Amino acid sequence: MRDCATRSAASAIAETPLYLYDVIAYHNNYRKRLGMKNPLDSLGQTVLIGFILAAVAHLLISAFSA
Amino acid sequence: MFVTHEWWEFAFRWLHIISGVMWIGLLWYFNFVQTPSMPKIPDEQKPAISKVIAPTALFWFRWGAMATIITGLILAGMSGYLLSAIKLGIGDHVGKNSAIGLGMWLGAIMWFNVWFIIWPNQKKALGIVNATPDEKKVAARTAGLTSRVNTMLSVPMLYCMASASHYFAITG
Repeated sequence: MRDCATRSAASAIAETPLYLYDVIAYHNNYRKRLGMKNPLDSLGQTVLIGFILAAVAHLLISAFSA
Repeated sequence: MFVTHEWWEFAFRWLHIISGVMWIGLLWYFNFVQTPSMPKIPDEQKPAISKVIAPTALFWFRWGAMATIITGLILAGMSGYLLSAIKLGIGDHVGKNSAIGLGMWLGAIMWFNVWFIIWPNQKKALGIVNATPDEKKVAARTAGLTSRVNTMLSVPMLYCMASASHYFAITG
């Protein structure tokens, strides 16, 4: 039973990057079909996402140290 | 007079900042200055950038990244928060360690990108190693996008680094 659970957990961990890749690939194809550009091609959008990530970082730090 | 633990700790912080300025300064030069300017440069003048300026800038860029991470790890070890920072300060209830830890992980991702994605692809794109025209095109795109990812991550990374001492160390 435990072996089965361990195998399932290991399998889930091993496959997670593949699922993430699928999500990213699906998003990229969807974006291309809509004619949207990669936000990283725009310097302004790159910096804007950076500022949003800084706000996320602040929340994470507060959560980690609570 | 100088041979105190506090002075050496300060000296490594100073070296960490110097090498960090070299690294992130050149990252922002590539993204804010060189890449947007390339389409405006006449074709016959482009080799001045691709054959002379970019290889030199990339040398200081990747070794600046290496010096930043090495001096940062030494500094964290000397200051006694290395292990706490690696586990993001979880369970320690010290905001400063969580902040510096998150900044360290972001910096480590950026360092990995420099050495294992940007530099190998730039070598192909700039003709430092042999590559077909198609391979050069793909390599230039991969290096450019990864450089943009690092520019994006540099904003929260610096927020974490600066707020550790100048916000979370004060507010707890």
